[in-house]
Amino acid sequence: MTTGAKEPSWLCAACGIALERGMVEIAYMGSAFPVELQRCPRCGIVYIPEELALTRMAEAEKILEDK
Amino acid sequence: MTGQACSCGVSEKPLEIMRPGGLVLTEEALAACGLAPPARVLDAGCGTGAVVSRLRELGYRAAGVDLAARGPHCMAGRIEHLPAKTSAFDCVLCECVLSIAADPHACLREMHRVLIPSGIAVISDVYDRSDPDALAGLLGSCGFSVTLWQDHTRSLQEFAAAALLQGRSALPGLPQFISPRKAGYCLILARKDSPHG
Repeated sequence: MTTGAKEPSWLCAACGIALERGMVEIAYMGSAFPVELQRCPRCGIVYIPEELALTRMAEAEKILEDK
Repeated sequence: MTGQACSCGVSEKPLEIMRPGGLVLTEEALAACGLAPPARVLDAGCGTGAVVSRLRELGYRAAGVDLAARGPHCMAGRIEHLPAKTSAFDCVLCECVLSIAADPHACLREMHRVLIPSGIAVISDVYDRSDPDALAGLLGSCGFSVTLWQDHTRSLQEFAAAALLQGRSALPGLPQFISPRKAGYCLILARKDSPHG
């Protein structure tokens, strides 16, 4: 891992190369959403930050469940 | 710092969403109207003119009006005072506009004026799910008969969820009179049934 200005950059543990930022489509609760995330250019694995997983996804879930 | 790596359900395909339902809903609405090219279509509140451009690609004689109109075939103007002749259009689109308009009655009266007899108004907008008949009542008071009312609340929820996941506000343009929990989204087709006076 190297230090960036805004967020850490990660290496893919399987491929050993740096993840790159790019638009990916998250399939979530029956819908698809474009989100800019870090992904491995070789194997395609995507890094989902804790803040996105625990905060924004939770809020989105409430909306999609109509609660 | 902790995080989660995930490859399930993720693809590289980008998806552009302009508003709930996007251009797909607009094209579905025109198909439901039975309006084929080269019908004359006015996009009232055309914004960047994306819909106008798309409709012209499809062969419609489309034009747009917006306070901040940009792009070809789009005129600067107010929907309450459309810069168009009476009975000039077969169809008027009004998407995500009435709910934020200062005077929706005036907007609808102008849309009524520029439509041909039996012309169609296509409305897609947020609505208050605790008062689902309000928009149809508004249209009726302005000389329109609703021929189709479809709920597209799921599109609004997907739009809001996408914004959240992208780090933006979920529903920044939601009118104050609609609480986020009661916000729905609908598509309405309404036929001009008589001159409004």
